[in-house]
Amino acid sequence: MANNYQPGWKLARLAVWDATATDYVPIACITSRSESNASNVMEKTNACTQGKTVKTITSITRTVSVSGEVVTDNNVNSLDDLRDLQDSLTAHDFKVYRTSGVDGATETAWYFSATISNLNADYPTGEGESATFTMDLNIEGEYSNVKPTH
Amino acid sequence: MDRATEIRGKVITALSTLKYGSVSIPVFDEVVNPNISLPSVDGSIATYVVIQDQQEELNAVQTVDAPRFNLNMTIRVVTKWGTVGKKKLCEDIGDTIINLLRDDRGASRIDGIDKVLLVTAQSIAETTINNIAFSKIIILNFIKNG
Repeated sequence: MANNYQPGWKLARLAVWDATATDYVPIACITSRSESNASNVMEKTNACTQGKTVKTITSITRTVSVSGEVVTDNNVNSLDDLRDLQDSLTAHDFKVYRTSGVDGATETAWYFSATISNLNADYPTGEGESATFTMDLNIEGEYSNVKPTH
Repeated sequence: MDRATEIRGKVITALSTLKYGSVSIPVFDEVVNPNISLPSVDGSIATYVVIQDQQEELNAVQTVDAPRFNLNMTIRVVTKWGTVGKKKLCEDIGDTIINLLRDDRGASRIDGIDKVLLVTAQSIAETTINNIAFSKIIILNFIKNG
């Protein structure tokens, strides 16, 4: 089996459903994306387990985090777009990529609904340094490879 | 187009209006063209600018939108004098060049270039029995997406 390394920049892409554009719109200008899948565990220790702690996974908490540079286009600030998403106080539909397609296979997307749990900005003052942001998304439910209907 | 070619062309265009007082200062690519007369500015025997030593490398920060490159370039402002000269002329012209290409915080004044960072600027002197040359050597890092 050939080793087809997956390019990070392709899988770092994140898009959010825009009802006005009736399409998923890329979030600019991402420099990295990470995902976390934390198992929530129930522990049980009793006579039946002979005093040992037995762990049972009850659910998985999935989060997506992105960091990027703040950009403006025609006086529209990309950070303001994210602020608006968070200020809506509702979940939004997002799209990421599960496979990059570099190995000849079809590029496949993952869809999920998520709330913004953190939106942070940083404004360094060094020469040539850009304003940056980080954003954490709490996924409601699971990833889906089926594009939701809107 | 090769990125070095592109940035060099844009810099030469930006410096096409370079003047000290009312005297236009010629800008050369790597070597001085012997067919072009070099102006005497403010008491100097010759004054000119040479673009040299271009380098290209990937920027440490990459985004999903486009690859990002550092395009380094050395701009050398040369002023040649008799046995007595002054360093200020090359420094003044160097300052004018920097202001044509970027602002004080590194924002680019060239279309298609994201930022222009000042890597270093240095003044040097060279002497012979009959001449002195003062040069301002400016190294700029042009940051380009794509």
